[in-house]
Amino acid sequence: MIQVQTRFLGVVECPEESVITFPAAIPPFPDQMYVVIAKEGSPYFFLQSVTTPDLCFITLPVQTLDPNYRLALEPRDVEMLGLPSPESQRDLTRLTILTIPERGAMTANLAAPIIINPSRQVGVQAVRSDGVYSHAHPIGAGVEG
Amino acid sequence: MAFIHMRIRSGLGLKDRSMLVLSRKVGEGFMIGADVEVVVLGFEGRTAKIGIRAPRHVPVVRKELQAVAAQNATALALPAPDRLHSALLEAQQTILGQGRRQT
Repeated sequence: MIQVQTRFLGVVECPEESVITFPAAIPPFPDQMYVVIAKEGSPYFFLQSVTTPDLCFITLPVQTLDPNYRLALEPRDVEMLGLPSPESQRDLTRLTILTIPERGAMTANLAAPIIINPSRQVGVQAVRSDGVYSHAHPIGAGVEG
Repeated sequence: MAFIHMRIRSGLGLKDRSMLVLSRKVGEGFMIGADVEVVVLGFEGRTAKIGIRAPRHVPVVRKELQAVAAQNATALALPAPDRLHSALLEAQQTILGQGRRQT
């Protein structure tokens, strides 16, 4: 087990095999490894750096927000995740990073979801260039009018 | 080395900044300042392969990644704990409400 100093939950013990590497980083933060910690009694997950307590994103599973979300991985993402083929996406963990402003609606980054291959504990931030989803998809006020 | 170039204005989402447009063949390139060399290496379908030689202190970042990095940095700056708590609860209720409507 490793001790992770977290942003919100104090020190959390995590199995070493739960640590996720991001070969292309979550920009602009190079050389960080992360763990995913569920926020109890809620749909949220913390994407917490194991070495930098303040580097912690609040995320939601993409399917919680949009059950019909269509994933689009670039060839370099498929390669980094170590997928046997571009189609083998069924078991991937998909998280969307939330932005919570002082005022106004929370937003989710559906244009660049965090994709993790749990069998290899490798992740990427899969940046879409097709413009289908927004970097700031509003949650709550304003959705669907 | 004769460049074909022109300046274009707006219409491409460029707002008030004009853009220099160059036509280059594979293997040709151009310089940005004295230190940055850009070469067109080839094409694969609709993808252009670009080679860039720049000093270490000049960051080279895919344009879409710069926007992602900015969004990530914004996401890390969270509001005060009480506002954060209520925002998370409120969104949670919205999300669960949507789920109920869909089923």
